[in-house]
Amino acid sequence: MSIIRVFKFAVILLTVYSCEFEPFRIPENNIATPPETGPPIIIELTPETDTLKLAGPAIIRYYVKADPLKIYRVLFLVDDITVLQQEYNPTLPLEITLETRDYAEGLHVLSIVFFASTNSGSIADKIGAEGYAYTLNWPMVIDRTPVHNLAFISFDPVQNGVRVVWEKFNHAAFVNYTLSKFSDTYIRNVVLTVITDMNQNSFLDTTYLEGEKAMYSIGLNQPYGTYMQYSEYPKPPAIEQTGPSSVNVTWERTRNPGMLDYYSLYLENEYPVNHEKYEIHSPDTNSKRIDDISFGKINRFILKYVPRENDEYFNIDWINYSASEFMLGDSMPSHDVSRSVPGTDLLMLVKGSSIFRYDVETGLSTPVLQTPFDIPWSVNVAPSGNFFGYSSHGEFIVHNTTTLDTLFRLTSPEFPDNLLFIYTLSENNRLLASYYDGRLIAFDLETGAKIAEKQFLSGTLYAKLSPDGNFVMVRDYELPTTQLFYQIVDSVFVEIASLEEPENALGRYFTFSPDNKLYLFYRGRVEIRNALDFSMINQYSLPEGYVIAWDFEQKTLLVQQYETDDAFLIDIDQGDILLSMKITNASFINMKNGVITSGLGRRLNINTLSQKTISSALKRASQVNIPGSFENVLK
Amino acid sequence: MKNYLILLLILIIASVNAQESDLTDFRIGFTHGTGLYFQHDLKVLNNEVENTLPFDVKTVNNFPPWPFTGGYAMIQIRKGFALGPAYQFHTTGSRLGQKDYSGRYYFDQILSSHALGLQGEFLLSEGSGPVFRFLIKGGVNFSTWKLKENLVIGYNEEEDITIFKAVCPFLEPSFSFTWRLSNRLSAIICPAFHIGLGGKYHLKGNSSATTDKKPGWNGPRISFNLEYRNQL
Repeated sequence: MSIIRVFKFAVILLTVYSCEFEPFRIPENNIATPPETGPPIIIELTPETDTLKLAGPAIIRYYVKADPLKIYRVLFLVDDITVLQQEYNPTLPLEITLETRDYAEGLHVLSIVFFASTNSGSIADKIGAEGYAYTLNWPMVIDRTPVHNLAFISFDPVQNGVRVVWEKFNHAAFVNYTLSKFSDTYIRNVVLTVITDMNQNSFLDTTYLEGEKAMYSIGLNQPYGTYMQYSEYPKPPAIEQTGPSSVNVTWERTRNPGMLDYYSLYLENEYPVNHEKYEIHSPDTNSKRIDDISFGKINRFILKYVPRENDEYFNIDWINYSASEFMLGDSMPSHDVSRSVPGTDLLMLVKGSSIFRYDVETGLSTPVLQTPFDIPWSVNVAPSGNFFGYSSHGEFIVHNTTTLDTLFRLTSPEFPDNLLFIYTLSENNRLLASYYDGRLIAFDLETGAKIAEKQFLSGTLYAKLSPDGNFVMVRDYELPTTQLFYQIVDSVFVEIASLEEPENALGRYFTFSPDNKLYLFYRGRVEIRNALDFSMINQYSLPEGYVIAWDFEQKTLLVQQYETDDAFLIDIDQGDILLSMKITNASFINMKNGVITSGLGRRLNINTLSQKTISSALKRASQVNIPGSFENVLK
Repeated sequence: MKNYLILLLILIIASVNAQESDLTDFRIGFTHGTGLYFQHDLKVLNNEVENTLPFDVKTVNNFPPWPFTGGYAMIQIRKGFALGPAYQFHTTGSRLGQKDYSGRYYFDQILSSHALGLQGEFLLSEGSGPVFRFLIKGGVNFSTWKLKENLVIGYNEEEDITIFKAVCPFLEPSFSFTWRLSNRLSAIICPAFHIGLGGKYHLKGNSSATTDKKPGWNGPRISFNLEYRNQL
């Protein structure tokens, strides 16, 4: 064997034999395989919306409760494209700023993947290659709709206030709604609420009370925006008559008792005013009984709901109110003038250009005629009630009361429309006319001729013809005021008696009764004289006031005290006070068959008034001063 | 290195002076043995790697004694002195590793060396028993230091291999006890101690990228040789 062959053999042997060190196999560590599905975790996100609406860059905050797992990484993807990856470190602010400028308007998906370790202790667990991935897919709408002024949709009255509804702005640019209220009632403005939920486009304003004049403002992303006024009016109160002079006023309870200080019920009426204000502080109370309601006037009940927060800025006059008008008594036709037809149950009512017959017993109303009157109170009924007359276009026309036949048509140049003051008819077909220029003329209806004429210096006369047509009573207002009693003799007014009224007598009215008596009404005094010779028959005192009506058939007189609504029904011959009541002569007051009528269209049956009222009336009448007699000045 | 050159010079002089040498009297031996390798720096590196890993690892191998092989040829220069080339292949290594249901990880350091040198042999005694000789060998280790890191998680595998190379001179004194098995075949037991004389490891293919780590081959060895002698 050559040496070269030996070396070749040795090299081959060494090559085969020379193997590199080979480490041993690694023994396996028996670690339990973690479950495929991890335990639930809680993810908190801000903003807390089901759909993320963005108009521009947005800060998204997150927090994860994953015990016992440990979150170690968070991945953000938009439409499956990774945009950001963060290590999860709860000690730092957990938030990202998501830019949106690269995304088109519309729907996208923001995926947030939270990586949590399994805590299995395996190699993969230790190096972060093993874990649970929790993916949250969040619909993301890119919406660049700009903000604009919002419109109010409705104001709905509801329990405890008003629900204000406005246009919803559910776009990404939304930050908040600010609802403010400017109240005229309080003369101030308040921010009612700031709402950060774009879907909440309504608010219950529990500070609103019926009657408040409010100006609401809805601001989008700013304190103020669109303005709209809202105010409610309380429903008018209902008035029910519960007694001869008492009523029960009811109203709706407030919807918002927490805001009510009191119900204000204000009674407003005509002269003589008798205003009353009532404050009802219980929200549950919705009625008020009011006594001493006057007959013959319009009573206006004004209702207001006064709020609780009535500080120094509060102005009750700025509260909306409602009002209901009420007139005491039963309904009847309204009228301008009322004349009693003696011997019947009828009243002759004048309304505008119409005359009605009204039966106070049955309540029936019958049209009589329609004619253009010069002055409604020119309608006069003869003492017997058989005929009546009126002035119209320079004529004085007389009709039969029953048949309505025209009995007389007196045409005279003495009938200038604008100077006539008062007429009186007598049973012997005479007409007495007094004029504003001081003339007093007696006419014969049958011939149309003047019977007598007299000129007074005074421009104002109050004169009446006796039922038999032979005597005339005049009150001459030329100072000193004088009462003159004439007899018509031939064509002359022959003065029978005269007297000066003492100061403050303020006598104004007198009248003849069908049985030829003359009733002179002074302040606090009545004189009954013989209409043939002016001699005194009787006199008595009466409460100071106006004589507003009389009824010779019922022998009653109605007197209303000055400046008040207190009135008394008095025996016209004896002066006894029969009844006390509340009456105002704001309209034409008349009496017939125990029924008091008002031109406002109301009637009051005297018999319904109670005895108790009479007693109190007597007590008051005893305190009235009676002025002295004028008997000594009688001519 | 200086000592190594002096020794090599002595051997050459001895060889030149071998006027009486007979080139036909030579021996060829095959070596198989084992040795201990002191790898202090590499054990420190293992500790460092273990400390940086996020999971626990086990030390599977830690530079254990490992069989080596080789061969030599000795030419009888003169009586009692022979000289000839020698070659041995050494290898050892370490492994840090972990394995569970989720995957596997290991970090291996594998060292290997082709030791090539001249070996001088001095006869100390020859009698009825085994022949006792002193040997001195000098040469260089062509060493390879391979670092291999491997991670398998599920179906994913990552591996990183770094290889350093070095040429390291050495001296290795030893004694040999030879028993004649036949006229031409002998069995030899040879205890030795390997002494590294320096050398610097650099990245394979980039001699300027060096490391301060010093994988070495120092340590005691014992080998069993089977020798063939050409002359009777």
